[in-house]
Amino acid sequence: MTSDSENSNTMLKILVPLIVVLLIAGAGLNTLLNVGNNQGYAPVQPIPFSHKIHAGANNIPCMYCHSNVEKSKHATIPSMNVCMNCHSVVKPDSPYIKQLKVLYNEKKEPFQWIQVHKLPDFVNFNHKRHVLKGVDCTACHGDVKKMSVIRQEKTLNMGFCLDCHRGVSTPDYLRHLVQQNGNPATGVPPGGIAPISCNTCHN
Amino acid sequence: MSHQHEGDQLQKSKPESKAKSGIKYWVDPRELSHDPSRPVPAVGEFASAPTAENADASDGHSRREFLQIMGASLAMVGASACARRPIEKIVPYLKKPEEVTPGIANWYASTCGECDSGCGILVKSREGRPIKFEGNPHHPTNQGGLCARGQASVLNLYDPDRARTALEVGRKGGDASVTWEALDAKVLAKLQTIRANGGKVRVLTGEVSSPSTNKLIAEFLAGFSGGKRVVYEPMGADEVAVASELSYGTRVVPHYHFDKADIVVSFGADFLGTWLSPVEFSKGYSKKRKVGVNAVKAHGKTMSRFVAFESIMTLTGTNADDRFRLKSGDEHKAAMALAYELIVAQGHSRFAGDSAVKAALVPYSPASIAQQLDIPAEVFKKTAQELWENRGRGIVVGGGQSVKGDAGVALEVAVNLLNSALENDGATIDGTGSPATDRSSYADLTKLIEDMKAGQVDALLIYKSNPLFTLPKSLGFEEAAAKVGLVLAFASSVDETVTAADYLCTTPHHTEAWGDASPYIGVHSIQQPTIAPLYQTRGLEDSLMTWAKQLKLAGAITAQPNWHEYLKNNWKETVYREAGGSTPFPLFWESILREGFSGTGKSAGSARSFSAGGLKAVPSPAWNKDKLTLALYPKISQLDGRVANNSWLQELPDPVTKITWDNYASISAARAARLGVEEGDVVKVTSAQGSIEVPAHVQPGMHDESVAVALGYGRRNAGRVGTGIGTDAFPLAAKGTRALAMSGLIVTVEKTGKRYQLAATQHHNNIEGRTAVVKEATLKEYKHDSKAGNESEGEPASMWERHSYPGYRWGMAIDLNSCTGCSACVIGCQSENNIPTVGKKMVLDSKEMHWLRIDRYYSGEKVEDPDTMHQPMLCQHCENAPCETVCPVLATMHDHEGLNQQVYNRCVGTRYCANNCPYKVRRFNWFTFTDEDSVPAPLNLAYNPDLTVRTRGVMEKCTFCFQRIREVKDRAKDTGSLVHDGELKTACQQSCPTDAIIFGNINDKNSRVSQIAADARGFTVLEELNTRPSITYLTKIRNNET
Repeated sequence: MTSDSENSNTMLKILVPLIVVLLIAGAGLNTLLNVGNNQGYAPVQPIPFSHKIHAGANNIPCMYCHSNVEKSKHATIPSMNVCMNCHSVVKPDSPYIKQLKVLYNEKKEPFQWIQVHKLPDFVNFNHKRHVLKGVDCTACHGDVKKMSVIRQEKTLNMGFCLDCHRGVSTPDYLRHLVQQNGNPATGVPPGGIAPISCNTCHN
Repeated sequence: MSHQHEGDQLQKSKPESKAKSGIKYWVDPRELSHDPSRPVPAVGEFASAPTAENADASDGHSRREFLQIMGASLAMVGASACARRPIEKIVPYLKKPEEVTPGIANWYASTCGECDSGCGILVKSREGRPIKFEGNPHHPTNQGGLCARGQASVLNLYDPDRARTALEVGRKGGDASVTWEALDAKVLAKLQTIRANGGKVRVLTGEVSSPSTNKLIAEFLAGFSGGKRVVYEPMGADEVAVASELSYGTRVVPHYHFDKADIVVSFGADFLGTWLSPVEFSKGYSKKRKVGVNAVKAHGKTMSRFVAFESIMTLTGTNADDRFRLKSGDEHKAAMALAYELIVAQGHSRFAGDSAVKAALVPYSPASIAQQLDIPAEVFKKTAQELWENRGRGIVVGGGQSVKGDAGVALEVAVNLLNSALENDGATIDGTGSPATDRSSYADLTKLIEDMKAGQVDALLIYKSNPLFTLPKSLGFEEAAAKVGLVLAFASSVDETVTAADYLCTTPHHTEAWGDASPYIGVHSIQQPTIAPLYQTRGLEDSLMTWAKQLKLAGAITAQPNWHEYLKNNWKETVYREAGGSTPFPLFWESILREGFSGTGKSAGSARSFSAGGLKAVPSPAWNKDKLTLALYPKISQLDGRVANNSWLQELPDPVTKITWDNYASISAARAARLGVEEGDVVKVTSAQGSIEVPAHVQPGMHDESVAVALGYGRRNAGRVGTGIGTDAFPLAAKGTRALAMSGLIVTVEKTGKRYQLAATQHHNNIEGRTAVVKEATLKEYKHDSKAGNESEGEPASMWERHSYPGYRWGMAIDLNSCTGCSACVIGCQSENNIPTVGKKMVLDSKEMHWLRIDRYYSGEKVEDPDTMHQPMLCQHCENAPCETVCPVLATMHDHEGLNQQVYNRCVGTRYCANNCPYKVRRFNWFTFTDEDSVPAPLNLAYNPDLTVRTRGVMEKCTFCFQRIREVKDRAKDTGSLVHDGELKTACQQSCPTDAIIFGNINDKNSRVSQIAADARGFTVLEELNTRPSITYLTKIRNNET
């Protein structure tokens, strides 16, 4: 008995700390691997703007508001006068629209939206090049039409970008669109569909 | 390799570099002396010991404390890494301006306002912020080039020390803000009284090349019975204008066409660096210097010849084929000796029979004065012959700051004689091509000071001028100003003059205001605002118009509602009419705003008739044999000190001395030995006017009896960067009769026993005696053999597999024969690539961050008469890059377009790559040079948002302007085409005033860069290391053997 209990004690003495250490290490590793990963980030915005209503129910095209997405590397958040195009007549009694009108007409101050999809400063992502190639907005932003609160759907980390560029996770429609399977002239590796040179993305 | 030397440890003389052709290159005169007691200081690439200046922890933290602080901050960083990222806001426009698309730059054509050369610029504006100035390629003046000062001007816009409102100074340096309304009320009250009483109003300005501003000032002054404009420019070309009046009867500064000159002779004129319009002159000069594939048609194997006679080693002199040392003050005599040789001895030209001319020349026969000049008489003979053979196709220039004073006027008259005799006047020199008015006048200035002293001036308005700094005390401007009832200073910040004014009428930066320029007849250039004024500023013109309206003056000044309308109306009445007026004016105006200028600048010009009377009017200065003479000169980066608060320019190494952040007394090695002075010994330079203490710098090429000190340093009130940098040399200048005497002044130099560290970059990043870094040949050798001086042992065997570059392969060609060393590219690179400045202490520690440096090599056995070579050195983007193989984290990678990429976020800062780079072009961020203390707001607005601002611990280097490549490729992809040759220019190439740098796709054998790189003169640096660089240099050709 004594030897058995001593044995199990010894086992416990080893196992418990080991498990604790492993758990901590696992948690630590998990944290480290997710540093900078903001998947799921859905902050409360100054007014509860709903993409579900605008893009979903009302079917407003993304580019009506994010109008520079084909011209610039920035998709751009619409300036307030774009909101007022509709809201000078649409739903004028809503308390939020009233808030919007006060800002626009009286205070002359724009909203300060909280940025959701944010890449580090050393990353150059060009919306124009992707959109002109035919990449659907949802490929990176998820199904915005269904989001009443905008939320970061994808990890948007380096692996996410590379998997698509290398052809690992590329959606099929894109694969058909981009008919250049491994074109070394543009730095696209065999099997890939887009360049993966460091400075393709890094400034 | 000797990289790990302590900062101040000395190393024995390195093995001398010896190229194949047997030319010995050196950077420091001590390398030639072979004197073990005077070793060359070796500054390792990784000097890490504290510099002598901060070893005593006088800057607040000792090294240990610093480490403790660092440790604590590291811990903080560790803790914060787990926290959620900070919330960032996106603030959209309320109403987006139609022309602004975030992420896309707008370009506006404008005119550079840094000096009065009137170069056309293109202002790159991102989200409404001007972030970079580039030369306007179509502008007739600068044709795409832009000098270092012009490019650094963007930093002046965001200078945190700019005054933000009008100030009530009260003659005591006060800084109470006043509103413009309050200021107007007070000023008007005084002006009304002055006007009613017929009082005298004076407007003192620097040279203003804006016809509209000049007209407006004249209209304003016309409203006062005693109104007068006085123009004085410390760096101006008074003596050229005065001499022109003496010789030709008209007071003009002619327009020089260096692009038509097959032979150039200069007596001290630094026309490639600081004289008149250096960018335009560099463009023109370099066109005649291109040989081989790079040559303009019909040239092939000929090039122009350039002979320089000068007292100090100027940038221009370093480019001369033959350079002769003169004692400061003897330039006039040398020019007269040349004229004697040409006209009297050789009997050439229409003046050969002119007894008045002959009589004036007789005392200067080279045979009699050659010994005193210390230049062999044959030199004058040969030069005169060459000039005569090329008559009508040559230029003789003289003057500039290093020959300033009455001697300068005498010199200019001699130069005029030479040019008229050689029929250059009217051919390469257009005396009718420059606006005749508003040139600097010393006579007017001295008259003004007299009037002020006599209490004859009731109001003084000062614009673009800083007389309390740029005039020596002996002129008594300060006391005189005290006697003026109302002193108004128009400046953008509180400078020395402002502190003695009643009010500072704060003016905007040139990118915030309308303006124009007419550098010479036939060219009109527009300056348009590209950003709303950052502060409560108002231009001189708007101030004058506001006051004129209240005073109810006559003319357009009151008829037009504001300066913009006034300017537009003036253009309508002048330029538009000149242009023919066939298109409606609004369309014409729009095209001007789009193009930036009107006119071609191709004026024909005609010869003027030279009157010999001028030769007698100005006496030649006396011989000062055996006495030391002083030349005060401007540096490329500072001029008269107006840009002292610009850190880019302070840290720009002087093209010749490679010293940053300081001025110094340049003396020859022989003189230094005689005085017992070493580099860095503080000496006391005493002239009749006063004395200053400056560190000595031993400069090869200096005359043994001359000392040179740069002006523009020692600003007392410049701002946080410029105040107290260097020593003010203006107090040494003396009164003169026709000009302020700034050269040929008799001085004594004594050793003080103090030492001072000069932050020179010339010993940094040296290539440790490796050979074949620069190559050269004489024109004669080159004519005989295109590969002369470019002997190669062929491609070394390689154990590497060659990379494949299936699409583009980016490469560069740099023509050493075109590069003058002007350093415009260094600042262009700095502006484009967010390169920080690090300060003098860090430069002393070899921690400067310039991606592109210009190495300066001397050659020849004689320390007093070296040949000079300038070599832009930047990342060579090697095919077999030594840096790539040693990076443990793959932060530096080779890409499929031949670029050697540096990934900042991956770099962990081992510095292995820099250690393994044979070209020493990698720069390590030892500290965060970009934090808010180093780059106080709003300076951060000048950053280029297209690339990362690097922080501590990251290696960086030239990327071949990757962001520019990306932008042009992006545009090409939009149209489905490839990047066209010439469409893509790096920042250094864009800024180059001599087109020495060509960039492009070297996979395309028809591209300009491929063709130039294939020239027989093409070589790669350190070929024997088999790094296979993407940059091809072309050998320098010296036209000094005929």
